[in-house]
Amino acid sequence: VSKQQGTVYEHCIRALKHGYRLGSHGLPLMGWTKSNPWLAARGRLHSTLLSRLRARGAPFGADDGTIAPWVVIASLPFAPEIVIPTIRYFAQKDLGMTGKYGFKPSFNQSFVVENSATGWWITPYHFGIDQGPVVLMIENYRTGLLWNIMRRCPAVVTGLTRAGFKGGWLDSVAANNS
Amino acid sequence: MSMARHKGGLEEVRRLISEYTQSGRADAVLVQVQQQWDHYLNALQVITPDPGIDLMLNRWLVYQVLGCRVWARSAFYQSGGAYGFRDQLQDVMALVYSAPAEARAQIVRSAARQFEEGDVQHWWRPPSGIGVRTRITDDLYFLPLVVHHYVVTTGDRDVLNEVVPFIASPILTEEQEEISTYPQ
Repeated sequence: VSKQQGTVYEHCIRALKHGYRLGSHGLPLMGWTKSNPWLAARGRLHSTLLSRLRARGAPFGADDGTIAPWVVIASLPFAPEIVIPTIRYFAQKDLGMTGKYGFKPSFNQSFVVENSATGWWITPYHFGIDQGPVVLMIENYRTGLLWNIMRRCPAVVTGLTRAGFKGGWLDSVAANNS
Repeated sequence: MSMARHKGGLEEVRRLISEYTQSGRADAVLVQVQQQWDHYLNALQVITPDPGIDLMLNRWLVYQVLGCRVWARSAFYQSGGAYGFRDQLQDVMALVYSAPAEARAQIVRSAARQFEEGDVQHWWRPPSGIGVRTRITDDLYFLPLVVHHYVVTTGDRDVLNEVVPFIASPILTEEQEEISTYPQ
C-alpha cells in the first residue's frame, strides 16, 4: 500500500482532477474510443464526440489521420461508387482482409512503426462491435434484408411516426397499415 | 478448494461438511437464505401495468446484480472473478435502496484501487491486487458519480470522511497503452 491516504471525498477530487484534463482545444481528453485511433491509444484524443467525426477532413483537428475500414464499408449502400474503389484500395494494403476477422478496424499511415510488416501503425486489436456494421451494411447493399425487417417492425414504425418522422418508406408502410 | 486456501484451511472445510450434513440442517439454512433474499428483494417494490416487468425489476435483476455481479463477480463474458472499477461501481447504484451496505463497501473498495496520481486500476483481482493501469478515463467519473448517488439516497455523509489508502505503481510510458502490475 502507498504511504499516501485520503478520505473518500479526496479520492473523488483526485479522480476528477486526473480525468478532467483539457486538451489543446479546451475539450476533455478521453482515453478510448470504439475505433482506437492512434492518438486515443496514447491518451491524447479529444472527446468521443469529436473522435466520431474523425473522418478525413473533419474540422478543428479531430482528424489524426487514422482510417477505419469498417466505417467506410458501413457506408456501402449510400455511396457504392466511392466505397467499392476504397475497399479495393484497402485490399491492396496488408490490412488482414483475408484473415479470420477481416480488415483490421483502424490504421494510420502517417505514424511510422519500425520493424513492422507495413512500416506504419495498425491497431493491434479487433473489436466485435466494429464487425456488426460491416455484415449488416453489405447485406443491406445486396438485398436490403435488414432494412426490410426493421420496416416490418410495428414498434419501429409507431415510434418513428410518433416522433414526427414522415416521408419515404414510412409513408407507404403507414398507408398499408391504415 | 479456494475456501480451504483462504479461510482456516482443511479444518474449516471439515467443520462445514459436518455441520451441513446433519439431518435437517440444510433445510433450515435454505429457509434462512430465502429470508435473506426476501429482505433484499422486498426493500423496493416497483408496480407497473406489466407483471413480467414487475418480476424483472423487483426480483430477478436485483438478485442478479447482488449475487452475480457483486458477490460472484461473474456474469456474461466477465467470468474471471476480477472487480471492474467502473463495472461494479455502476452495479451497486442499483443497490442503494435494498443493500446500501454493499454499495458503501464497493465505494471504499474501489477508492482503495486508486493510484497516487489519481488514475485507477481498470480491473483488479483480489486477494493479490494484480490489475491493469490504463488510459481509460470513464472509470474516474464513476467514483464521484456513485458516491453522490449513494450519499443523496442514503443520507450517509460519513462515507465522505472514510480514510482510504492509495496505491503506487510505475506510471505509463509514452509508448504504453496499459500495463499489468501488482501495485504497492
